[in-house]
Amino acid sequence: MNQSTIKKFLSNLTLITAVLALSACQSTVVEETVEVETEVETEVETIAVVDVPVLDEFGNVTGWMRDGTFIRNPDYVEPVVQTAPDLLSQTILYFDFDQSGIKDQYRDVLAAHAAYLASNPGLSLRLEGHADERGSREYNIGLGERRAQAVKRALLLNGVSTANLKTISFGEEKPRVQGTSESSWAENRRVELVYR
Amino acid sequence: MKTTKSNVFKIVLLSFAFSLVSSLSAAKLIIPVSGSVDDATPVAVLPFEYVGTSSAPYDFSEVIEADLQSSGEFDPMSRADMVVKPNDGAIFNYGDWRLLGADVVITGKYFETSSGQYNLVMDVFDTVRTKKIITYSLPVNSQNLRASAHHLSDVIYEKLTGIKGIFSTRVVYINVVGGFNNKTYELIVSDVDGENQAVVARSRAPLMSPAWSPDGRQLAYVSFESDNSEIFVQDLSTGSRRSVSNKDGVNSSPAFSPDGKSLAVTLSRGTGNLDVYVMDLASGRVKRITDSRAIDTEANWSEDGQSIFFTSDRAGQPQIYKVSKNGGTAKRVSFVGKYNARPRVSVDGKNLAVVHVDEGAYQIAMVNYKNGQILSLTDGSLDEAPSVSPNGRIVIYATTRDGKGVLATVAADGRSKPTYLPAVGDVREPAWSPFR
Repeated sequence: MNQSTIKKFLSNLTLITAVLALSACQSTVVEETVEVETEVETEVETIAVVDVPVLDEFGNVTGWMRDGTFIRNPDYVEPVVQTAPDLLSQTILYFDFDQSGIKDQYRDVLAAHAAYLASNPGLSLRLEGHADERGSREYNIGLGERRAQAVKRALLLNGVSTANLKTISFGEEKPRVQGTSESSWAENRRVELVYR
Repeated sequence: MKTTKSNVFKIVLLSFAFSLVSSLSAAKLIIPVSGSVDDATPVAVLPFEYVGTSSAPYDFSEVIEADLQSSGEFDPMSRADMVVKPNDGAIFNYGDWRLLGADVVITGKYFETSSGQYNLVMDVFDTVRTKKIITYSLPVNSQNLRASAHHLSDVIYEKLTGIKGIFSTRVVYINVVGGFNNKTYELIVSDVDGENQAVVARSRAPLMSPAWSPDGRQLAYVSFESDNSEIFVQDLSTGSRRSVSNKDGVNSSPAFSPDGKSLAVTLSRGTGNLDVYVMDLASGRVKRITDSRAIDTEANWSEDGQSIFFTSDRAGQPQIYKVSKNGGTAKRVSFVGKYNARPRVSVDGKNLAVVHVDEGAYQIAMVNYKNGQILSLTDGSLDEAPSVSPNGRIVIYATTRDGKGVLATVAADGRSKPTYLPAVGDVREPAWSPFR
């Protein structure tokens, strides 16, 4: 343990002690505080004040509330992906018949997902490949896998770690829409990005 | 159902729907073995005579008649037209039956030897050559009456055509029940005439690609129930099963070798590249058989167990290839059309039933792997999953009608039109069992 880690550890210990002392009359505060590893300066040790962390939508600590005042986390960096939520909300990529080439229109979508994974290394992404109903079922398992692998390669090129990616092919077994028209087939030839 | 007035009653019905489907008592899948052939042989199957004091325990001739009719190769006479009676063991009058237009007459007699045990004797007469062509005796018990009738049909069929009958065989297929977003997949085994249907596996996640072991005692199939594709081998008599392949990536397309010791499978092993492997079932060890950057899948063994046919799109589009069971260079065997996939070997030693695309329509065809010729069998647009009967005469396959999967049969030599089987759910991927 280096010096700063020890400091942090000590400050957390102190906080927990302080909270335990308070808990007799303020039991609700306990759950919110003990789980959080806060960056508190050493002088806090002497102050019996509880900081309540404020999280952004991805679970990062933006700062703390102390006595009704927001204290900014100096280490907090706003995730890049927050600037492109519309791209991140696109989690389905469609493919041409019997093809696994990724269309140009998805370049930015994949870049946004790659950035999101980079700033959230704890997340993993499953790429679920699908085919339309035409042709033999096992060959379609192959087509779905090939599509999922194409998306995986694009994400790796965008800097995503292979450890965070998993592929699965459902072939034609899990269509998104029912129907035997070209428009329903087009909706079923896809890779779905599923965060897990 | 149309007369149902109470919503409460409807709800009760719905809640019982699942158990109704699992027993499958209501919906019968009757499998006509082929469409009718023009030159069907006229045949009379007389009601079998029961020698005993109680009433006859079983109508053997009704089952035999239905079997022969379903083959499309025989045209049974209706009982009302059988004006020459009785069948009492008197001298057989060939002339009378010839006049009635029956080329073949089948008679039978049975008596009880002890409780539930019977001795049965069947005679078959050829009225054209005026001679008795079969005398067949068979001990029967109350537990195997229907199976015995099918066995007699097989004996008759083989004598008259020179080809083994398939009336004692079975079919496995997958049925999907429930709504679009609430599906349950059932693996169902049925006698070929639609009797004795049993759900042998059930899953909320997709089930795929059932394949018979050569002795008909086991099934291999793919299940996604563990949230990844996984291959199981299940014993049909005990219901016990084991997972034989659950590797990273694709585990799919199982096919037993003719000696039952190996299983050809498709694996991606996490690389995303599908290849065919052969697994030794005793040790679980796999050996890679194909090695290309293409999709290599849908293995099916040659009759002698020395080669494996498979689908590969190494030339850009899926076509059928043949490779030694030990691997090595694969040889392309299908050349007509841009899409030929999922080969299933016929016992005739030269043909494969495949999915073939003709002008955008997915149909079933036979590919002759000796000379590359192709014979179209069906006329649908979404036909798939062909499987050849163990005597090589019939192809059963899956197609779509009104958005639901149904099964159909067609003569393997192209001499009949497809016969669609009654819809019983959303049915796909039939596989015909080997002979018992």
